[in-house]
Parts: sequence; structure tokens; C-alpha cells
Amino acid sequence: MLVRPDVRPGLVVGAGALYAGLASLTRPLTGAAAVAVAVPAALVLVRAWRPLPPRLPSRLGPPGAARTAVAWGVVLVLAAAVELVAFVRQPAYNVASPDLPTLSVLLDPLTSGGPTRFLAWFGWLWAGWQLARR
Amino acid sequence: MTARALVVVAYVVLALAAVALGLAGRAGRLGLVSVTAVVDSVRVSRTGRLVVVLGWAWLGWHLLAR
Repeated sequence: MLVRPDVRPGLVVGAGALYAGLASLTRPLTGAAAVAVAVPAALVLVRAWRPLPPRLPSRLGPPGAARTAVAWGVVLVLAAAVELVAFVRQPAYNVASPDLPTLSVLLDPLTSGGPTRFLAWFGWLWAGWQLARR
Repeated sequence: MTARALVVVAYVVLALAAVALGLAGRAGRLGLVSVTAVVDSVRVSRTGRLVVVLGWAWLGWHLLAR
């Protein structure tokens, strides 16, 4: 189906908002929420698997990219370590530890329902779209 | 300080570090570049793209589905 280029961004935002609206109605820790995450994740993964046309910058990236990657890597590894410690100290997979909360537990008041859950969904979908379209 | 407070402080410190790195990268300070530039250079390879997408997918599952 051909879509005029000037209309496409609006359609994407509308589709994303519609999907985010429906997905935000699902409750965490349910199959419906897992499927709602899995569908766009699978689409972006398939897109990532495809070879890219040879128009991206070199593998080395711009000057400073390596330093930036290391700095972000340190932050992400530390965050993953805190998250992992909190997760393994939970009494069960789906039972949070009040003493060592994971990031999802701390953000639960925002991501469990309401407009902020919609915004979280929309932001996540937007990030996925950015990854898929590059 | 309780274990919970320590965890919260750790997340806050890491979040502030991420914000500082993001701002420094956008401004080109400290020899850093933007996150977008790093992600673009990582995504040149299929493996890099898959790692980035899997990280994004995990974040969605972690924050929105569980």
C-alpha cells in the first residue's frame, strides 16, 4: 500500500498511540501484557535481522564513540548488577522483595495503570520505531 | 541506611549519571558523543542491532509486562 510521505509520520504516531492505548489497558503480570510487548518486539527483531543498505557510518563511528560507549557501558553494567541482585533476592519470580526492589517495582506506581502507563507504552513503542526505521 | 534506601540511592545515582552522560554527549563535552551516534555505530553490524533491540525488548517486558 502506498502512503504519501507527508502523511506517513502522522499515521505512525496515530497507530502507535492506538496500540499504546490498547496495550496500556492490559495489567502487568498477565499473558495479555506479555503478548502486547512480544508483538512489536518480534517485528523490530525481524527488522533488525535484515541486512542494512550500505549507507551507515563506519563501524568505528565518530571520534569519541568508543569513550562514550565505555561510559554508558559502565552505567548499564552497574544498573544491571543492582537489578540482578534485587531480582535474585526476591522470594519468587513474581513476588517483589520490599527490601531490595527492582526498577520495575520502584516504577510500578507509574507503569501499572493510568495515563502514565499509556505514556510509558507510547515511549517504548516510539523507541522501537526509531530502532526499526534507521 | 536500610537496604531498600541503598538500592534507591544506587538507582538515583545511576539515573543522574545517565542524564549527565546524555547531556555531555549532546554538548560534545568531555570527548563524548551523543547516544544516537553510538547506537548508530553499534547498529552497523547485525549482532549490534540485535543486542540493541533485545535490550529495548527486555526493557519493555520488564517495565510494562511484569
